[in-house]
Amino acid sequence: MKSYSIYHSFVLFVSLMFFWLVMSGYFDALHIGFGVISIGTVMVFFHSIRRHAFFEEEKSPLKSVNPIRFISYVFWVIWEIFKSGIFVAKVILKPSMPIEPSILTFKADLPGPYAKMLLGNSITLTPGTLTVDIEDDLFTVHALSRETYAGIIDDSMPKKVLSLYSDEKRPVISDVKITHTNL
Amino acid sequence: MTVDVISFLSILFILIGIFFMFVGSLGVIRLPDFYSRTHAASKTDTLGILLVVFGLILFEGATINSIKLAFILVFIALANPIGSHALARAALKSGLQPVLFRREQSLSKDDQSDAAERSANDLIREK
Repeated sequence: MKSYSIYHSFVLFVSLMFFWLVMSGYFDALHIGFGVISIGTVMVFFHSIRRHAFFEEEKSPLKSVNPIRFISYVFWVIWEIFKSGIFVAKVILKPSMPIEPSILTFKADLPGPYAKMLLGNSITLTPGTLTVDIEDDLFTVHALSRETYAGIIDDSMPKKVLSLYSDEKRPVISDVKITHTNL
Repeated sequence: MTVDVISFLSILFILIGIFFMFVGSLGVIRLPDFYSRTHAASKTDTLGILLVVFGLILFEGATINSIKLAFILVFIALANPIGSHALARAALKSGLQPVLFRREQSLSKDDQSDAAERSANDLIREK
């Protein structure tokens, strides 16, 4: 069980109301009134879910990140979406199709499930790599070719995710194992 | 005149987006196994849809529909990597072996299918 304050409910109400107004596009009293009734109903039903802690020692996902670094992270992710789309398109369009599929597994020492989710998402969005599985600290990643997982095994991307949460500089990943063949 | 430039830009974005989605579909046919096909289906499609929706936002201008389209943009960017991750994870859990190979070892087609048959992956064995 978690506790949350009236402030949190207020923030939730305002963001839902904004969403309602954008979706409806009518700003007269009747439609806004319908919105207030709907949001009230949703918040009543949502109450028990919000108080439920899905992980041990769960913290608010937004409170624990560094906001300035998070904004730069978002822009970096958008840039990575472009790069990875172009990379995969290039690979597909080359007649020789230069791929060398491999699986790598590694352990990542990150604070909390949200940090792991961010790392998993970042790996999926960077060119040529796809997070297949996360079990506790063990990540399983499918990579399209040899150069694509360089950013993961030299620890630069996991450190980027760690820097969102804390200022400490330490190696994040360990026990890297790369499987190249089915043998 | 300015309207024409904006229309031109939005058509350009939409065309580039359609091109990327086409390439993604092509990749689903060309790539050798499920996992690498997931790459094609998720990455190029994400970029394609983002470009198409961005083109539509440019075409629409500063209206309430643009904000709705911007919401779609954010939700696609959030949901697509999670969807492809869920697909790949389900495939691995149900025991589908990825086809892995090095270029040197797999110059001919036969070697590739050999590698697929010998699909005793370390990963599954560990579990």
